[in-house]
Amino acid sequence: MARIYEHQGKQLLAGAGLRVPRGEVATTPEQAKEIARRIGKRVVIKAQVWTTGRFKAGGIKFADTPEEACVRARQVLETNIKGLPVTKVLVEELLKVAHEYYVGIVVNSSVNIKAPVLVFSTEGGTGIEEVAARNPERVGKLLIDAIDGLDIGRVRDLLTRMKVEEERREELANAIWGLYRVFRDYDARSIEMNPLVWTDDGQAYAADCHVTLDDGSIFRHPEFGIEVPRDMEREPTKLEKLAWTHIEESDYRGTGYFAQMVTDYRGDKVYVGFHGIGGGGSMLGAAALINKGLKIANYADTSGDPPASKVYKVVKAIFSQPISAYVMTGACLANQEQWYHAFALVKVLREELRDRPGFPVLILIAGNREKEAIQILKDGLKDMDIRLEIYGREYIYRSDYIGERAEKLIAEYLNEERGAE
Amino acid sequence: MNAKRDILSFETKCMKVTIDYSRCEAARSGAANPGCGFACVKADRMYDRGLLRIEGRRPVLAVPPGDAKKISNESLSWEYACNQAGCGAIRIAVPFPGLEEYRKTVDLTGRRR
Repeated sequence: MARIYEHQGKQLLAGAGLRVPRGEVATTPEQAKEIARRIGKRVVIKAQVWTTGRFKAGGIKFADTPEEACVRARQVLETNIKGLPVTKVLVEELLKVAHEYYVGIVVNSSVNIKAPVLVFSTEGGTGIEEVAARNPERVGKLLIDAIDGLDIGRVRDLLTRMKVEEERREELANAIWGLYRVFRDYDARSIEMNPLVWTDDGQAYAADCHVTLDDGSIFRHPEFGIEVPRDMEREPTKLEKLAWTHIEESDYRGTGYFAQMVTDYRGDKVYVGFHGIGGGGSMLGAAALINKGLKIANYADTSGDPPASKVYKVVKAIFSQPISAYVMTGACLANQEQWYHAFALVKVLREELRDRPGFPVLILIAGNREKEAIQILKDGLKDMDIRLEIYGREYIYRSDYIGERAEKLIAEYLNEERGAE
Repeated sequence: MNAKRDILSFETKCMKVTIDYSRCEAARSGAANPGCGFACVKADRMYDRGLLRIEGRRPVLAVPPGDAKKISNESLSWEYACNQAGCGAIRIAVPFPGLEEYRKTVDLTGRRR
């Protein structure tokens, strides 16, 4: 699910008639100062990053004057929140808060529901899960019919049921109705205002806004400028953009997913190029490597029966990182013949490892045509000077063993190099 | 068909395929049953979609060039089969625009010690 920034979400809400705090985006402290001067009152400076926990991480600060806004914006722009550099901040007026509510709409894809669910809480500004666990009576839900949509009358009923003060109900209902329209019109998977603020002077404001969009709808919304429609907490890397554009975007034959887990490589670290086939087995394999203290450079998945040409490109992307080993864990899939993976792997490994003697390659490949796939790999790579180990279906539940073997092969590889010096 | 170098080249959706007949065991020997056993055509029948056939004792494209883009399932098997049983006469390029340029900007060595 692709994300948009808070300031973009607020623009959508404003377009739907909701009140949002007056504010603008700044990329420099000086711009923040100018914006604060234009606002002419106390401001809040908010890091625009795709992650939660901004306040605790120093990504949200307050300023009484434009000069202080300049200082605080500089501090925020120098912050690194959960490894994400802050490149822009939202400078906006500080609201006088009388009460904070929570409201969100999320597509619940569980088999019994499969519909958007509206969640409202009389307590906002904190995690909705925490409120639901502590005070479930403060949380109310509405199931939204995907065809008929949401009737504002049901929202009014919900607010009444939740004992919201009568004089606030109509304005809050309109705000929630506006949120729903944004959710619907922009193909969102989830949208939330936390908090939806009731101010001292009796008005409802969307003080925060988080939106995730349906990846399959991004082509309908070029206005967001989303290059790689994924649920990521950061902007895509150059390699991810290349992989998206030339592997996935224009080729619907199976999956060719590639995402980097590391964006700032360190010379003293050992990185493993990771390649999974199918979610469950991939997760087990990745977890096994991580449990051994190995650092995965990327996560890749080639399931859904992609052609060998697509698998080839995914593995080329994996080898376009500074990796010291390649590990593939291919789960036991019924919907693809694994020999296509074997052809792709032989081609890439021959190209990439010709001049990397001893390089560790560990392949677990299971499923249809497994025996033939393993034979293709063995024959195709038999003259390669690499540390090659190939496993079949009897190892799909032995992910710890795969982790151990990866650790061993990598240690041998590194020691060999040390010994050669 | 490239007349100068006796090469067959065609494209599929994401691949550029070249068969160099000057290296092709079947084409060079002209034998009805060459040493490679027409491994590329056999691989095509097993793993791909019938794009190759034998004509004049050499592998040729069995479909109009424009149809290759629609028909092939891009198995990469022809190149593999030729490398294994023949003389490496088939080369398949899978273009990945921008990747080589990107790789020049990254130290791909990886930690070695």
